[in-house]
Amino acid sequence: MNKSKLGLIAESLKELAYGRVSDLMEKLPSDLEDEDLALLVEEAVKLIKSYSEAQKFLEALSDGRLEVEPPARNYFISPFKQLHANLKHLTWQTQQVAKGDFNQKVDFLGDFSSAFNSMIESLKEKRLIESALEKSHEELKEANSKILDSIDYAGSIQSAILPPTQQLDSILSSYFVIWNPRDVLGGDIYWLVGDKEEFAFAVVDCTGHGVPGAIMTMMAVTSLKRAEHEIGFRDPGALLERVNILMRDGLRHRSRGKLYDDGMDIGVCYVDRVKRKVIYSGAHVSLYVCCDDLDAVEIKGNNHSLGYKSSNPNYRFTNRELHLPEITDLYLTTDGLIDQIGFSKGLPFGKRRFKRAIVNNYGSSPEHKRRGLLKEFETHMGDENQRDDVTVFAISL
Amino acid sequence: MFKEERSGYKFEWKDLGDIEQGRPNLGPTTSVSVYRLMQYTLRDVLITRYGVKAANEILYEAGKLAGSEFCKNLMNLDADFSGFVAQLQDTLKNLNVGVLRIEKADLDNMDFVMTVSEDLDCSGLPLVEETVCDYDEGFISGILKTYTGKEFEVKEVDCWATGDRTCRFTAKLKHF
Ligand SMILES: [Zn+2]
Repeated sequence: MNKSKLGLIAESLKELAYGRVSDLMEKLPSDLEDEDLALLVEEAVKLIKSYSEAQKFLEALSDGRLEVEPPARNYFISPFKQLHANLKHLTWQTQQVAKGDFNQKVDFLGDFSSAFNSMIESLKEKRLIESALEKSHEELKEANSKILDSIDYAGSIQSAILPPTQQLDSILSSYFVIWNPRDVLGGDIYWLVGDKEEFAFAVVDCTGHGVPGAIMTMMAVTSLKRAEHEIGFRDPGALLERVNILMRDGLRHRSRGKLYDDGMDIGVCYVDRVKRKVIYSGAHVSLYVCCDDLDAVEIKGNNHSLGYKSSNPNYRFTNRELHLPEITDLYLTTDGLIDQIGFSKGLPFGKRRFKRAIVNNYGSSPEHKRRGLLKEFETHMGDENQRDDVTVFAISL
Repeated sequence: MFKEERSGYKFEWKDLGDIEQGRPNLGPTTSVSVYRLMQYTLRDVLITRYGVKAANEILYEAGKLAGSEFCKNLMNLDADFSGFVAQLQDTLKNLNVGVLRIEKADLDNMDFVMTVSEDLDCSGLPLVEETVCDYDEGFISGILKTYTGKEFEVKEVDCWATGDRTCRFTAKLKHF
């Protein structure tokens, strides 16, 4: 009798050893009179319970379900409870790192500690580098905005050296100006001197654009004014010769030993309104004349720039004298307009297109002429960037 | 200073004395068994004289006072929580108290779970059916109270002595 009950217990323990725990409890004998046997069954039950609890917990652990509470007071799983605790700790650590908390360290978890800790160190380093980058980015932004502010301010100073509208209006009865520097500042300017009866007007294209170009324009205006003060404005050729020398002297003096080679192109047109006489002299700049019987005609300037090292200080600039019929348009423009590359074919705006615009707008109001020319220019340019400063100074007589 | 009657705690960090001066040859550390010898004999006497419940309460209370003084004197209380935890983990390790590992820190609800491995009080004890780290519970609650200014109820849910290899503590805000 007892033997078969012992056999049942042995069978259950064997099943347990194979990891099969379902229904094991029912297999154990019950209602035992033998005290020792009852004790044996009681311990077997505890063993089976502990084992099946442990099995459930270990399954959860191997699935990574760390939220499962480990069974209390179960000695089978002691090392796994520690593993469970360590994994939970690592999970927390990782979450902290994800939140940007790089203060943490993993202690005494073998190879994992050093791997994890060195990861945190490199993240920390990365963050330091990032914040340094961020800082220098901020500094650059600030420096840039300071530069932009000062360029804006310099832009308004440059506008101040241009002839004021009041002066233009009082001397010229019919005129328009296009002054579009590529940047806030430019290397182009226009100039006007004289009175209603007699005056000279000019466009100037200095080397470069932006800030260096703008500084050159200040010098150009100073030289022009000084030359005009010395010899007047009735002889444009002589004026150019004088400016050539003044610019060369000024620039060589300032850039001695350096590789700078700066200068300018210029067109100066003297007008005697009473005699309807024009004298033109240009350095790489043309005068365009348009009247009733002639289509736009280009009066070329000399093929020589002012102020460069290569500019000959003794160069003689030609004066071209014209007598104007009724209603004549005079146009001066720098190369920024003529040379502008177009969007569709990559071809320059060109003299042909410029002359056509002049002819098309002949006889209309200055504002209409201005808009017509600008529209033509902008259509040609399309999405292409403006390459150079653009200046047009046009008058009607 | 040590022996007058009192109605409130009078312990101060300087009562620990100048160990460097006092122990030039033996140094500031001792054997863990000596520490445990004192704690478990004291516990024995406390239980005998006042019963289990009162003894546990006394140990918890003493731990709390120790934790609070430890925190005030050795920790930087201005650190943010993550910095504080890292610092605490480091200090406990350097003083050979135990290896602190946070499992959960819910700062919104002030709900924490942490483990202390290689615990000074219990790691390696014979397995019994009960948690024994009452002093540690108090110690942690003292630290938390000093850092957060709030009362915590700290409970040891797993202990080396209950076969869990590591001591796991839960800390929740105490509701009065
Ligand atoms: Zn414990």
